[in-house]
Amino acid sequence: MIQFTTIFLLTLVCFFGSLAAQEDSLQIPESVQRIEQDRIDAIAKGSRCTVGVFGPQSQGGGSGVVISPDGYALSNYHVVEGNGPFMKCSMNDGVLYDSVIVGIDPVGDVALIKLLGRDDFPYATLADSDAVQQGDDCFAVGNPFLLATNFQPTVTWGVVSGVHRYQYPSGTLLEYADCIQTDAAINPGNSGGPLFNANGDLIGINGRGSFEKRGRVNVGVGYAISINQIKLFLDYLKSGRIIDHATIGATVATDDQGDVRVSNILETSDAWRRGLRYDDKVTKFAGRSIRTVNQFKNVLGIFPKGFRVPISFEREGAQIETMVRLTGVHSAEKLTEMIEGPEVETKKIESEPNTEGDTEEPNEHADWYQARRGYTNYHFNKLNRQRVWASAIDSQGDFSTATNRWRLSGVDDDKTKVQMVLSDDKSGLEIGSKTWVLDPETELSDQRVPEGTGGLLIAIHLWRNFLILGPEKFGDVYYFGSAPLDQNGPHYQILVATRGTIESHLFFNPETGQLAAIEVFPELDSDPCLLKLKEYRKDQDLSVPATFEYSHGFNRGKLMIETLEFLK
Amino acid sequence: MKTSLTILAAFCFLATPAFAQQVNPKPAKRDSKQAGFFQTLVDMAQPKMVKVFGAGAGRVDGFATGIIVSEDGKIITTQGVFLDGREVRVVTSDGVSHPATILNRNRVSQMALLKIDRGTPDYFELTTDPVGQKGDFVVALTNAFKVADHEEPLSATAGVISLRSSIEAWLNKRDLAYAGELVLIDAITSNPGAGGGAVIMGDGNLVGMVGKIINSSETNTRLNYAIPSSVLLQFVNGELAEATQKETVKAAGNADLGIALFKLGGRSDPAYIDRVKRGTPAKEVGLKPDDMIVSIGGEKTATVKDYEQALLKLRPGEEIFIIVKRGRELLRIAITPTEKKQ
Amino acid sequence: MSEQRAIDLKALNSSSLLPSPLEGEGLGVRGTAAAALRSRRFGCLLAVFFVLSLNTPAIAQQPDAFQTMMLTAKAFRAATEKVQPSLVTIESYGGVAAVQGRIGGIRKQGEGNTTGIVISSDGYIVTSTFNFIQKPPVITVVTSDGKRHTAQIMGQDNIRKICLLKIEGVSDLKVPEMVAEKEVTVGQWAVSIGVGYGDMSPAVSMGIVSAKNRIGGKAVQTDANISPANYGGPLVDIKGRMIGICVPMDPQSQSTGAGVQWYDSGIGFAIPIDADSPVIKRLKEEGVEVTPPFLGIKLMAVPELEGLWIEEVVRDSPADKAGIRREDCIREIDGEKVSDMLKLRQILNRFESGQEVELKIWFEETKEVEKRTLLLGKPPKPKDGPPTLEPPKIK
Repeated sequence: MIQFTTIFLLTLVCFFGSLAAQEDSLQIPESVQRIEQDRIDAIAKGSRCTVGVFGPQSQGGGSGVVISPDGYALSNYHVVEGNGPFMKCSMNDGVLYDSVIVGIDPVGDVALIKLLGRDDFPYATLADSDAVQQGDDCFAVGNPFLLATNFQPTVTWGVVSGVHRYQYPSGTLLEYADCIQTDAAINPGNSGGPLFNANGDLIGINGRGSFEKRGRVNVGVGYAISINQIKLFLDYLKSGRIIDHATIGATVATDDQGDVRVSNILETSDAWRRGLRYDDKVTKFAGRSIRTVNQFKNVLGIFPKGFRVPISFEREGAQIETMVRLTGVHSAEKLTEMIEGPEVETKKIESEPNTEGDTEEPNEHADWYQARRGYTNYHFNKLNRQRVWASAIDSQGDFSTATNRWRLSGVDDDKTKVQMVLSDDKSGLEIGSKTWVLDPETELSDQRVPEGTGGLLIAIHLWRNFLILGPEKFGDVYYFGSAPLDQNGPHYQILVATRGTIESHLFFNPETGQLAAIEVFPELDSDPCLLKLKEYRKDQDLSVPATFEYSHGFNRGKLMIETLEFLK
Repeated sequence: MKTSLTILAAFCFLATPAFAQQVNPKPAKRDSKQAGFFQTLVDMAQPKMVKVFGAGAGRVDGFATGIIVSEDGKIITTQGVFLDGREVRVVTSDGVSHPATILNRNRVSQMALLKIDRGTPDYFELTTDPVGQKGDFVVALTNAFKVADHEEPLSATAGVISLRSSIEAWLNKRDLAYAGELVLIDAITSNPGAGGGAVIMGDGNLVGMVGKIINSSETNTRLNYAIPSSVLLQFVNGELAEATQKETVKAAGNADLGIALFKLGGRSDPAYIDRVKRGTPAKEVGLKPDDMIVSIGGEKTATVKDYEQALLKLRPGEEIFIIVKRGRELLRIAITPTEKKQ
Repeated sequence: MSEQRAIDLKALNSSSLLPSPLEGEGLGVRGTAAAALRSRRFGCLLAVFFVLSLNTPAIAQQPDAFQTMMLTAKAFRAATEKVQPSLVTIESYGGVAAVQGRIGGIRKQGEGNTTGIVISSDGYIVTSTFNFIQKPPVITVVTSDGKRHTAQIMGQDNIRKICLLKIEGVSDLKVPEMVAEKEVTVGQWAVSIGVGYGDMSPAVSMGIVSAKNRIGGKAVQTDANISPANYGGPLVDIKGRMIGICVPMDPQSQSTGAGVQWYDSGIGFAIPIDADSPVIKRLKEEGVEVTPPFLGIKLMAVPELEGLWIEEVVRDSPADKAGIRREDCIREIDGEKVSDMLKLRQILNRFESGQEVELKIWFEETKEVEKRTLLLGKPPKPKDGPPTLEPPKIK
């Protein structure tokens, strides 16, 4: 009613206004003014955290957006590519900040960098990009054609033209899966910059457009990587590594009926071991209904390598649902080679001290970068590895001096008595009358005992070893990222530890810091042994799990531990 | 959750429209403004639209968009070589592919009428009245760049109506010989595959159909336009002439004014009078050397070439106005051409 | 740990317990989000169903949103109508195709009718220099009352790409209301208007103000469509007040046609001016030409080193007169460090020929850094050639 009256009055004002003096400004209805003001506010909010990304000499450039007060910022892989480890980032406060590369996702065209020098950067709120609808207002902020010489970014407004779009990769890199299509102008230089919703919350990272014969100029068709995809990759990117995307080891195609069916499947894949076969009709993948090949590719494209996702398929009328583990699109070596080039013996020039003729003063931020093959910035991997382990010690206590033999006693699911004695030179397991012994001096992967567990004793043996040695002494250990163990479960912080030929994944609870599971892979292309460590009990300064839950493929079992003794 | 509530509110309005008008709800809350409005609009339009696939040839794209205009499955789309292939297929919004027959093609407006063997309750009602005026918000739904596959929804681009006008002068006759009104929009629709797309108003009504990609003959820039709904209706009803709508004046080519222009060899020089022949209409009305001819019979003559073409359209004995520039003055003079002496 | 120690887990079961892992809670949160999502989907379907079944347009769905949309459109029209009396159609006669080849996929430039805007009631009109790229010998102007007048080009500003026309025998032309640049806010409505389509009913395009202080602080940037159809026309706010004059612009090049490659791309520029702007006052003098500054140097590409290394100096150019020679290095211009072409352009964009600028130069001969003041000159010929260094890599 109030609004109605207002409009009526405004109309009157307009009417008399036009009679009285023609020079008077037009009266704009309140609702129209409000829309304009809301937009101005949202743009001001979005512009504060947008950055221009330049090379170390302020050359070239794209865009980016800060997502945390300590300066983590997202951009495109193709923007940071070739810039070297250090870059310059401009913000609309007029300051050019130094920044360092953290991690890259070359398949998804995402890069994580960190602005340095402040711990109170303005940052963007990450929205839920799956809630974005076609037609929603949105706006892009960035530095198209490098116009922002005064560090004030360019803002372009538009609508969401489509959601869950799929745009093909070039080769195996730069794939835009499940992306957001917009008609807000996206031009060269907008790459890496944010796409915001009407509230100024981050829904995507602009990076691509469909261009016409007139050249690389916006024609109303731009694409942004959805922020929900990036959320899944964020901890991976923080690991300072080159991150790979995932494949399921199978391809799908649409048949005559319009059904999406498996057209090819690798017998070595996890999907095969979970029962997926040629010609099965895929109905759901990671919780989304699958009716087109693009939809399948969209789902696959948003997950990092190593994720487990649910898949539902139909065979002869029967519905089967299972979890599959996604493997990498590339082998780790192949991806590193694609990004860093073939391995060479000589040291890279970058890591050499300043050569003569370089007039630049020594880099005050040099500590923020450490080169290592396969890593974009090893420094961040070390930081996170230390962080995860420090929080584990904090909550579980320090086992580093418990180097004696450990004896664990308890029962299994059938209430049969269980006893384990673990030590550096020999570990044994006794369940009822059966006994298994592990000799660490010989190849561990040949000792996958007890049978059917995939190497439970290996897992338990390595568990003790890791607790005593910690990541620094255990072997080659790196921070991997975070992923769930179960459907809809929390994302655990993951360390990957390699000892001998065996790779283990250690899952740390994101809330408590405790080691929640250890997964060992004694054999290539076969199921690992997953050992979940549950129900931690604390005694003085140490806390120890009371339940050891293990699974291997479809096999599973449980050991309830009653006592842990540190023997002399 | 929020959205569901809004929907619920909308339902109330539908149930009691009279009441709804009186209440006239308070301005939308900040966080719920326009949410879902376009989505609903677009969701309603999608089933009335199709993706059209034909033969691609070399660098020419083999795809377009189409609009369903009748319940028996008639579809209008843009004209193009993709229709010349062995088969034209139409993919409806549910992802099902249908073979299509070509019922009619119109070269002037570059439109084609297709038909599929599937009835549908979802189609656009074509109207004779113009839909939308300058400044109105519109949404263009197209399959530009073939971004949408199978059942995936078409791309939505938003903009306003820039102008409703005949822009004949801007059209390159080879591209589009059409001479009636077009709806210019500021959303970019001159993209491959966008032809045949729908331009709709916020109330879901069809403003027009995205036409073939054309460049302006004046600036060589791409034009973003829709062929108005009323013209679509004429075409569907078979009432749209195959020849140019506006009858081009049969060039008589035998009219003469008695003017010789100053020529330096370039046909893009302005039309300056060099000599006025004795006993001719030009002499009679007092045209002089160094006068510059600005327009003849309402047609602007920017160059010698323009003048020559304008002259061809005149008829002996028919009085017209000629505008000339003399010094800084512009003179508007009535003149009657005579028959050219052979 | 030398002492033998045992942890009795069973005994501890009932005493000091740590909470079990938090998987349960995680599940709960996720479940809610998913449910919310589902109900939204359902909600939408439901709405569509009702709307279709009642055969009611989408209006009824969200009366607020639709009403606001229509009111906004109405406001656009009012804004356009307000400025319309100040619009003129500019016709040009003859001329030469100034630019050979294509720029931005556009072959012929500057043909056809274009737009201008009245800035004084006695007949001063501003338009874009782009419209006269073909240097037509004769120009006429049709005012909004339909009258045609011959027009003289007074001065032109090749930096801002605007020029001033004068028509005689008029006294009551309507001057548009202007809005001061400092009152313009990024994100507000911006409507570009042009009569290029040959109709006195102008074409409009709607967008927002994308940025201010562009191209050396000379232009307001907008994402409304800007093209040859409205170069010379006004960019107005939703109240119909003029923000600026639409022109093609490109920070990398100051040739008249540069910037047209970005027509209708969401990147457009308007020059804020009014009758009292210093630049307009200068242009009232016939024949005045404001031109971009010219240093007269060609640069070497030495990306590793700071400063601009001189490869060549144009004879008798300002640089030559200041004693700059090959292999000297410009360290600073106007108090700012320079290291690449882009930065040089940025700084020069603030200047025009005829102004003085201070440079810090390292001289090869003396191996010393010295300050010099240069009088910026005019470029020998309008330069349409490529920049002398690789353009920056834009991603």
